[in-house]
Amino acid sequence: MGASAADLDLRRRHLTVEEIEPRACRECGSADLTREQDVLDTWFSSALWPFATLGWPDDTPDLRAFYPGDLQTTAREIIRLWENRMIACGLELLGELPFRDVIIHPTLLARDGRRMSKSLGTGVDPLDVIAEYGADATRYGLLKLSSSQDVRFSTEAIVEGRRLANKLWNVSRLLLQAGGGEVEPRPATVEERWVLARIDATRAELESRLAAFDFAPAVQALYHLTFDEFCDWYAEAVKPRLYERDADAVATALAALERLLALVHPFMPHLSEEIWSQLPGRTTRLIVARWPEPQGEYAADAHALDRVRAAATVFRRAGVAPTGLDDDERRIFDAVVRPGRTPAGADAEAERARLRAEIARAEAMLANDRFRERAPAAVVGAERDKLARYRSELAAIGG
Amino acid sequence: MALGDDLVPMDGTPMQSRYDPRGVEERWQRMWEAEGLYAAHADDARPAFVDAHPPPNVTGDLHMGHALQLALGDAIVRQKRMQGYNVLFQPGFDHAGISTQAAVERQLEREGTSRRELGREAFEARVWDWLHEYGGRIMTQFRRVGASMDYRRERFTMDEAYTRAVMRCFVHLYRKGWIFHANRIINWCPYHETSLSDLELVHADADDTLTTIRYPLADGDGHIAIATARPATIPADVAVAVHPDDERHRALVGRHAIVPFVERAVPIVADARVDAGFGTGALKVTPAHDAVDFEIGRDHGLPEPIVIGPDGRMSDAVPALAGMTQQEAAEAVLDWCAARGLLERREPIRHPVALCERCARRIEPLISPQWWCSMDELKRAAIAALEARDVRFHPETQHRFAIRSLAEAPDWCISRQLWWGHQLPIWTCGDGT
Repeated sequence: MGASAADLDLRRRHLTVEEIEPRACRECGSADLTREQDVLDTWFSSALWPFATLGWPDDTPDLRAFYPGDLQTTAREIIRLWENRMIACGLELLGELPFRDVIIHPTLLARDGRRMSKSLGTGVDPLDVIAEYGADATRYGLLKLSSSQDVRFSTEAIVEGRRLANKLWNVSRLLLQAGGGEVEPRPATVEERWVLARIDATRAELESRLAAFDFAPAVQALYHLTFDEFCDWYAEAVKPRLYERDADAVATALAALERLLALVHPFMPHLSEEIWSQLPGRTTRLIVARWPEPQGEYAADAHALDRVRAAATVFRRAGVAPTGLDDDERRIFDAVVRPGRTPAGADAEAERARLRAEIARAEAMLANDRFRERAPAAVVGAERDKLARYRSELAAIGG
Repeated sequence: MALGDDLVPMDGTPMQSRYDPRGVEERWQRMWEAEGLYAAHADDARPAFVDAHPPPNVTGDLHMGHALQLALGDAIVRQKRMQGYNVLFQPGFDHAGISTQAAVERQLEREGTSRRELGREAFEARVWDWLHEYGGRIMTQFRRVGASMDYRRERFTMDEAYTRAVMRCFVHLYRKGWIFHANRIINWCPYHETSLSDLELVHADADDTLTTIRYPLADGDGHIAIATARPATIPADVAVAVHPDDERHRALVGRHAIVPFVERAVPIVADARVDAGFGTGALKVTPAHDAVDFEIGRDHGLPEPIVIGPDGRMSDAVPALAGMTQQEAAEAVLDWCAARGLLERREPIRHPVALCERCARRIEPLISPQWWCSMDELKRAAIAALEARDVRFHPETQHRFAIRSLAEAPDWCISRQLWWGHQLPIWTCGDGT
């Protein structure tokens, strides 16, 4: 850019630029010095945050241990003002990048789509939300909402977090009240091997979701594991043995709970630590416990409950009793669904006919080249899932 | 680590029948911190994992954006801690120049005094007092979210040690030749009397009047009509610009027009930045008071007279208008035009204007001598690192935005006319000024 006449006057001045106050002008030796009145843009010091916090410009043990760093989280309107300048200054002054990954998180909008602002009266105070629902539920809800770049705030996701917290608390009481002193997986039944396999599958999913900074699917996976699989199926199925104080069942249940709590901890740290402290023989806190190692030995049973779960779906929907379940499946079905308490007398043949029709419809759609090629992948995938579900439901009632 | 005797709750303590997070969460937050489980140690042999969390404003309160940011960062660092990393989740505050200064100035106003009455040194002392009393509340709120930061390591961008880093960086960039002093157009807040970055502005629609005024041609009969929402700036006009493809005005390019009120002959120039669809398609060029006009002026080598002062009122550059508000000056200029038959039309216009985020007053685009940091060299290595994906923004769309925004990064206006902040380490001498 060109300079103006006024710029030429600025350039004629003698400037002395030093880290500490100089005694004399660098150019003419004059001791009559005046400091510039202006201060620096706030973002100038922010640009040094990843290393000025560690003692730079001194060569400190902290700087050597913790620079370069790893992660940054910020909003997209700060990229130009801050992230870019931290990267540029880190490279220029230290010769190394200050971090490897930058998560650009969504902008939270008010429920009506306007920006959250105290002056507009559209802000929601997170401390109020935490006071009402707890920090864990709030954290869960915010992560659940973080799936796209512009998110309207709603308390529903936070209420879901509270529901998850309550469910986990209640199932933990059930397992802990069985009074076991051991925490060790000694699975004797299919549902125990199955839940250990499900926990391990979710561990793997959480690792890959967090590595990709995909938080919404991560908390959803956790919700599904805790609510549907751990509580509604495993805990219900194993309950009779817990009531009998079966030592193997209790030890296995506490081992499964221990692993589940570890997976929950990064998202809902307080609740998970509180329950963890009730487990027998604690010598560490959960916050510094080991993240679960892969546990492949139960993987063969990861789908062992598919058929009985399909049977439960059909039974709950149409009242049709399953046929062809094996002894384990029958026992699990009875323990979980408790069919005696549900009025039966439904029309099995009509339900089979309905499922056959659905299967035929889904098969026809998926056989259609135009549909497979033109519909969004998620729609085609959902249709495939539906077809698989209908088939297993039909199989469960002898179709 | 082994647990102490104060461990609560432990085996045997009955679990309440319904989970109530109140009390439980605060208890764990205190215990984790007291037991040193948030701490990071430089002599820990395990691999480090570091998240230098964005420092909130020292005067600020937790908002939902902070809570989300903490939920994301804390989920990652807690998992990493469990995976055996020596985790440093770094806490601290930003000194937040303008908002901190404004908060203390409000207090001084209530006391019937002002920063100018106090003087710079006493004012800075007041800011520190104020911060000791009210500042930093937000770190308690971070704790309440459960953020597992090493709070012993709290840093503040105005700490002595941090300030040393700022000075080192400034001198480094200056000696590289990248920091310079120049008159350029900036965002000026007439209330806070400082330059502002684009981020410190808010944009809103305003209802104004669009006035069409005839500028007589200097050589011969006829005129060229311009449309403006800011007649008060007419005395600072140095050209009339039209789009090079605009047939209506093509014949006038290269001739001269007379600026009303100051009766100065200025050139009619062609420039592609003119929006031919706005008003008459002819733009009055006022380099000192409009960002686009400033660019046009520099490219055409035009002078940059300034008629609005730092307080937003008319400066004494035009004696007849000196000290007037812009509204008063606009009326004076329009009366002058009307008396000479140059006032063609007035009509309502709704258009976007920039406001100061803090005081909601309109921003004055103003030419002012400021300190700049050239990004040309500084950004080169950063762009290369981003392109090599040595650092990655997530999601991918934001990675591309980061590269683009770096490539386009203009010179950075690094000076602010405030008292609270890092004073520039530049001294001038009496002999040299």
